[in-house]
Order: sequence, then C-alpha cells, then structure tokens
Amino acid sequence: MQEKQEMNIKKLSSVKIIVIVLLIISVIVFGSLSWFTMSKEVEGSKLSMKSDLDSFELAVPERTDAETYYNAKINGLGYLTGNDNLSTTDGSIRWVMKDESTNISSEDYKGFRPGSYGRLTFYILPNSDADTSYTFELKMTGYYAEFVPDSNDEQVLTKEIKANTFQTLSEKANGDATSDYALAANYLKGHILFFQNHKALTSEGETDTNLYYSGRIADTFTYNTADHQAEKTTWNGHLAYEVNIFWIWPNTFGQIVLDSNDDNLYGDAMFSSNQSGTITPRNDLINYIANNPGYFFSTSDLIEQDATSLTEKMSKESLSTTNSLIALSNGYNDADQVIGENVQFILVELTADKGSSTGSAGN
Amino acid sequence: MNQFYHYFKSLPKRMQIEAAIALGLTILATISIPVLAWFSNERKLGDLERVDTPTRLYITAAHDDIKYLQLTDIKVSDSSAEKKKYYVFCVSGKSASYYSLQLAYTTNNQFEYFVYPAHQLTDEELGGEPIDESSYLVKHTAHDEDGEETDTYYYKIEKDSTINQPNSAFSGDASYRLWTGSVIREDSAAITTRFINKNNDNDLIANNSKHNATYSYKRYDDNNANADIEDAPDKGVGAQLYSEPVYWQALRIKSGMDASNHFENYYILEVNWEKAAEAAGDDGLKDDKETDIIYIAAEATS
Repeated sequence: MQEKQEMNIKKLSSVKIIVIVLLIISVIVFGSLSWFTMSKEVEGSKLSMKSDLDSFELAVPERTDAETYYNAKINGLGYLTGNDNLSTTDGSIRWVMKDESTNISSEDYKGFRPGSYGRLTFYILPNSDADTSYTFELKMTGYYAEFVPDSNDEQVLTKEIKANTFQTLSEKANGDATSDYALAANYLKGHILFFQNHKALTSEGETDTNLYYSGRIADTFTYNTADHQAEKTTWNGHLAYEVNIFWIWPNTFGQIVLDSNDDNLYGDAMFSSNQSGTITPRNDLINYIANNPGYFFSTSDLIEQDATSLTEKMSKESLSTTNSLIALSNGYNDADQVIGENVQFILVELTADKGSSTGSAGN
Repeated sequence: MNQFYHYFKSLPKRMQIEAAIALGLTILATISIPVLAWFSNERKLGDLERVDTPTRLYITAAHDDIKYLQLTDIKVSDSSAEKKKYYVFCVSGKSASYYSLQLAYTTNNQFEYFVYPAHQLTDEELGGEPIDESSYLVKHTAHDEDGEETDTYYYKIEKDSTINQPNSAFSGDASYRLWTGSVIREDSAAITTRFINKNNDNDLIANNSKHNATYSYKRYDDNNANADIEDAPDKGVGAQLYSEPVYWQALRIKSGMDASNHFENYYILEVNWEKAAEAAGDDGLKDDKETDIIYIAAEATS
C-alpha cells in the first residue's frame, strides 16, 4: 500500500512537472517568436491590445453596378462587397479586375478570353507617412463550375452556379495530373501574366509610342513608398499610394517574342527589343517559359524539350529563319483552348504585408 | 517577491498547479495577442471573374464539307430560264451568341448576290416520295469521306414559321433577304445589313474606299476608275476595276444556341443576273468565261 501510494505520488509529481515544463516551453517559444517579429509600436495596455501607428489599410476603386457579378460567391470566399471599398481590420474586400480589351457591348461580354488585358488598381492607405516597405503577394486560382440552364442564354455573367459544382481546378482534378483540369491549372500560370509596369520607352529621342510591359510579378513583389512618391495621392482625404498591376492574357504567342513591326505579329507586341535592363523583360519571360514549358504549351514536343533548346527556339534568329513560331503558337493556342473549356472562373488574390519579403508573415 | 513565494508554497499542491497554469496562460495570452495582431496586420483583396468559353464557328455546305459548296451550272446565255440560281451554305458552331456574316465578291460577272435565311424541310413537310419540286427551293446532296453521295436535304427560304414572324410592312420574297430592314430569327430584331464600299446600293461594282485594306498595290487608276487598261499603260500594274471586291455585311445575327450551346444556321445564297441581262438588252448575255471569287466569312461577336 505504501509503495503504491509512493508510486502514485511520484506519478502525480512527474505529471505536474511535465505540465509545467510544457507551459514554460510554449511561453519561451511564443516569447521568442514575438521578440523576433516584434513591431515596436505595438503596445499592450492592461485589458486591450491594439496596434496603432504601424498599420495600413487598402482601398479599391469603385465597382459599378454592372460589375456585381457573383458577389455571393466572392463573399463566400471571404471577400466583402459593399464595404465602402475600404479594407477594415475585420475583412478583406472585393477587388476590381476589369477586362479593358473588349469593345463589345457589356451585354455581350462573357468573360476573360485570350486577348483580354487590363489593370488591377488599389490604394495603400498608410497611417504614417514614413518611408515603408510593403510586400505584395499575388495568387491566382482557377475554378470549375456548372450553371443552372435557363431560357436566357445571353446573360452569361449572371447565370446561377449549380449547387456543389463550384470547385478549384485541383479539387476537380482529384490528384490526376494528366486530367484537363490539372493541365488547365498549369496553363493559367503561364497564360495570364502580371506586370508592375506598362509604359512607353523612355530613352532620349525614342519615336516608338507603344506601351510595353516590364517588371513581371512571379509571386511576390516589394513596394517601397520611397520609390513611388509620384503615385502619392489621397483617397477620400486619407494619404494614399496608388498601385497598379497590369495583367494580360496574350492572344498569340507572337506577342511575347516578336517586335511590334514584325510581319508575323498578330496583336500588340508585349515587349520591345529596346527595353533596357540587365535582363530585358522579354528575356525574363522567355527564361520563365523555357523552364516551365508546361505552363505555356500543350504539345508534348515542346514540353519535353530542355530549357536551352527552347530558349534557342524563341530567339530572334530562330524565329526569323525557321518556322519555330508555328509550333510554339500551336502549342500555346491549344493550351488556350484547354483553359477555355475547363475553367469557368479565376480568383485573383492580393495579400499585403508590411515589411520587405524576408520578414513577412502570412501565406 | 518573498511574500508571494511563501504564499505560493502555502497553497495546497492542487492550487499550486492551477495557479501555475493560470499564470502561464496569462503570460501566453499577453504575448500572443500582440504577436497575432502583428500577424494579422495584413490585408487582402480578391476578385472572382468569369472566363469565357471558346467559340467555335464553321462555314460548311449543307451537312457537307465546304468543298462541296460549288457555285456551278450558271448559264447566263439561256434567256428563257430564270435569271437566278440558289445554293445552300451553313454557319454552325458552339458558344457564339451573335455573329456577323460577310460576303466579299469580285465583279467580273455583273451578278448580284443575296443571302436568305433558309429552313431545312423536315420529312413531314416534304411528304412522301416522290418529292414535290415546288415544296423546296434548293436541295443539296451530302457526301461521305470517300466522296460517295449520301442523303439529300431540301431547303426553302425561311418565312412564315413560328420563329420568324415577318414584319407585315414587307411582302414578297424580297423582304426575306438579309437586307436592310429584313427580319430574321427569334427575337424579331432586324439585323443591320449593308454594303460597305458601294457608291450606291443599286450599283453593281465597288468603289475604291476599301482598296487599301484589300490590296497591297495601287488601284489601277486613282483618278479614273472606269479607264480601260490600254489607256494608261504607264501606270504600272494595279488592281483592275472589277477585281475590287464588293463587301456586304450582316451584323449581329443571333445564332440561337440550343441547351448545349450548339447552333446550326442555314442560308440560301442567290446568284442573280437579272440586272445584267437588262443591261445587255436584246443582245442577251454571253457565256464568257469570266471568273469571280466570292468569299463567305463569319465572325463571332460574342
């Protein structure tokens, strides 16, 4: 009996010790996490915690009445609408991604397609005017959906989504990497591109007035307010910086690799050979294509090629002396077809954090 | 401090543990809330947008490959026969709500071309064999892959059907042409039709307003559109008057897609030389071996 009691007491004390040790460990872990990620201006007073001067808000341009498509769906995904276009501490808000390419009337408009392009605009509303860095992460997800058939086949943008059919492409692919849904998800990564700039060449005496893209956004980009004083403005009386992200779904592959005066070009050239930079914007994209052919082409010939030989196929010499553009264009157009047939929606999300990319938190 | 320590020690074991846990949790909370506040000082924007379905658009002969759309058997010298001939073509596809149709034709032969919406006669409408020739306007026999003839389809100009209620202000066959003011298909909205490069709708030839868009070389004589080629040999090679194509368009035709977004629209193309015969007068027209090119084009507009 005595022994048993002793055993029990020992057990109990070891349990107590373990519990206390665990507590201490978690306190240490949280303490060090917060030390390393501490933002000095955060203050905790006795009962309420608040972060003050360091915070910022985001605002978006007005969304017109005609652009309220699928509000219920986007609300379900966590983005508020009807929120005065201003993010708050509680919610994320619906953005405006409008197709500026189309000149068909809004009643005929049916959604994004190859050749669509536009800009995504938002405003950073910092609470202080000190030079700060922000990190923006851009993410795009494709969705599949089926629609309730109705007699009005024209109003495509207000068609009701059939219950339980709205899924991401990866959910729909269900692990099968060869299914059209998985392929379409990959093609989206290459076919819808985001850039920080869309502007004319700036060198002295330049006569080309076309606008070209530069500053391709892969996943994240850093924004230093110090470099963007020209975009400083106000939004509803609050200090704001206007940030524009330019997106494009190129209609033809030639728009990526050809100059604007090339006879084989159909559409507007995205880049110019006269753009400056250690790596020109076109070469940066060619590099991305050569290393990720599965995001751009659907033909196995191109997907299986190594980066060097693909880069060579996209070089100026090869394009002008061989028929390499035909194979590249066909692969690109076929991939466009797969996207169109399997993707019904795209969700574009921006996450903004203070700090430069090495120190940011969040996904 | 010592006071707290002694107080702590004096508590029973159980309460000591509870106190320790409470203290630990409080410290945790104190630290984690500012950390979480920092973590959640991120903002998100998101937008959901629709991706369009690809359009498919095809121009074919009736139930047949386009190569079987042959504008043959035009004998203008036969003055007793009717001075027109009819052919059927089909615009079909998927996911195009509206499309535009365009004819572009050269004018070596002084023909007029008209397009009518066509209705494919059902077996009931045809009645049994033998088929009454007056029940249809034009027929087309389809072919299989080996070129062997298969079924024959019969067409007449679409009118008086329940889905095409004509405007009572028009009368006669001419009102059903895809012509300005004509009525076509479901919603009774008139589609816009027009010639885009004629000086006058009644002219048979084109003016030169679309020359630069069509040809990369000069028009033969910019100052004298009717000049004969012998008159100015030093003008160099240029596009001759009758090779200037006439462009005719019918805009925003509603395709009428079914539940699975497919559509099939039939048209009758009428080749008409009544005006040419009138102009030739008593001499009548000759079967000169003049060649013309006619392009039929369709473009989905939504």
